[in-house]
Amino acid sequence: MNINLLKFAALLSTLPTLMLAQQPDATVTERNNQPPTAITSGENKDANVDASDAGAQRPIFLKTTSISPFAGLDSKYLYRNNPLSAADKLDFIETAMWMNTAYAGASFEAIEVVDAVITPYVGASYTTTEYLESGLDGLDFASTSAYAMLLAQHSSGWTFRAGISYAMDKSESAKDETYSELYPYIGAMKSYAVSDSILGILDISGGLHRSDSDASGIPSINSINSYIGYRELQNADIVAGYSLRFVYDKIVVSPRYGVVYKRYFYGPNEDREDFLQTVNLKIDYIINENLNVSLFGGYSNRDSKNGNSNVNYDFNSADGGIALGLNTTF
Amino acid sequence: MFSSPNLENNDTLLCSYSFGDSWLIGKTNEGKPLPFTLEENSTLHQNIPVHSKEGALCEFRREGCLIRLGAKSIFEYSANNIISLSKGSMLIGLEETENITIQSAFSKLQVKGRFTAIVDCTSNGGFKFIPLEGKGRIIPEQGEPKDIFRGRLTMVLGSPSKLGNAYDIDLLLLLKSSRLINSFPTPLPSMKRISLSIYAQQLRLKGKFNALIGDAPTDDNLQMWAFGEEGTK
Repeated sequence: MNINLLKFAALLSTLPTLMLAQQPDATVTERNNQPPTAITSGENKDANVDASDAGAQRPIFLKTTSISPFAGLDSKYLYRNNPLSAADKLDFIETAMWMNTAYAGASFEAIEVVDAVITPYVGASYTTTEYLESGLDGLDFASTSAYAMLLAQHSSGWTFRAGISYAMDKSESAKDETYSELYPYIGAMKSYAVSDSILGILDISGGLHRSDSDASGIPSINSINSYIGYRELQNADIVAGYSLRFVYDKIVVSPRYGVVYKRYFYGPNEDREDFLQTVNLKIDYIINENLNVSLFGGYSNRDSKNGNSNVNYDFNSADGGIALGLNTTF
Repeated sequence: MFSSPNLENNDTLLCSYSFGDSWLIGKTNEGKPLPFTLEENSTLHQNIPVHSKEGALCEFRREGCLIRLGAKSIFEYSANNIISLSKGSMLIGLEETENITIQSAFSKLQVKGRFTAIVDCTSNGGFKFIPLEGKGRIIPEQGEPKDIFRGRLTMVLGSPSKLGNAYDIDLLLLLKSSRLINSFPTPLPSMKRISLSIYAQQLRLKGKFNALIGDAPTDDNLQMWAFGEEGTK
């Protein structure tokens, strides 16, 4: 998924710039490729060197296949001060973590309609998460996910998406599936040029987590629904985020603030509402178009209320680390 | 020659912008050429040629149609939606489907559709037709019509005219370097759709040649300006 988001951001960054391309000074035009001073025609006569007002015409070649596959690897080494999302600071177990992700996917031939370009995407990933603090290693798990998505770039500059994703966690020690979900969702994103080198991105989305998890064993006290343990983590969410991308040559600095509202429906979580805030900072160094290294850090805070159990779901958590990303397109 | 602006009338165009020296070539009662300076907000009638001088730019509008003229160009608008560009370059934008004829010194092309395109004259008397966005058909006097495809430069050659070679070109570079797009005080009405064309082209982009397309001194010869390898995808 990361490579897609990078592609979208890069492409979208060009669109607002073009919207601002009008220059009232009619004598000034940016010409990235000035014609060379010495030009010869096919007949070895001096050619007309007058630059046309039409603009530079550079031939390109387009893909002839309707499928564009991509794949990559991400490796993260990070420190997290509250990996178990404990409410009480006394229960914090700080640990280093190692997360490795392999992903692959493909985009299909875009469908061009009057005011939009719609592109189908499919993809899958596999992530292993290892806790390096002794005592927590029994909690190591592997996650598998897959998605299918339609992404529509509208001429207004908004990008709309709709899709469904599947996710599953499996305990490394017990070899059991501990969580799985189907997540149908919709979303919209708008990017705009804050300045020549700064891009602002607003992103909102929402969906329904139709999850299947190990029951907590806590019965609902006041539930009007019959208690179904495996459903207790099902929730609907609304996600909103605003981020900036500062681009300095090969360095991209991306601060982001995000909020998530969740509402649960079943068992001890019936009527539970979570409000999650996150602040993140990521600094990417682009080594080449296939390889980048990143420093990242973040802080999360969850405020939870209601629900039918006495469990406190509030937490604070901070993390920071380094990541290496390798990606390619075919 | 000048009258009050009337955008409802398809027989006239309103000059909505003029930069530098451009001239209208009218005729005296005796039929001799009589040049007038082109002024903003003046009305351009049919069969009155416009000559833009070095560095000049001008823009004409009527309802649903916009025409921008580049420097050192000769342009004329005639009955039956015939647009003549015997020298230089122009941009034409149609907001609704129309049937127009573009003609240069030797060549002629019928275009049916809703589109924004650049027309660039070549030394062989033909021209390049470069659609930036839109849908429709280009219909030569000789040979098969083709669909308009954004970013595909098509050579229009000879008389009776036929379609020559076609080249997909880098729309983003064209937009950044085109005075017909960038050097006017108001944005093109179709700018958002052009941005979408760039997005669609980038999705399918596989690579770029280290060359720029130049003039066509003869029907069999197209100049290519080669440059260094840096920048190749």
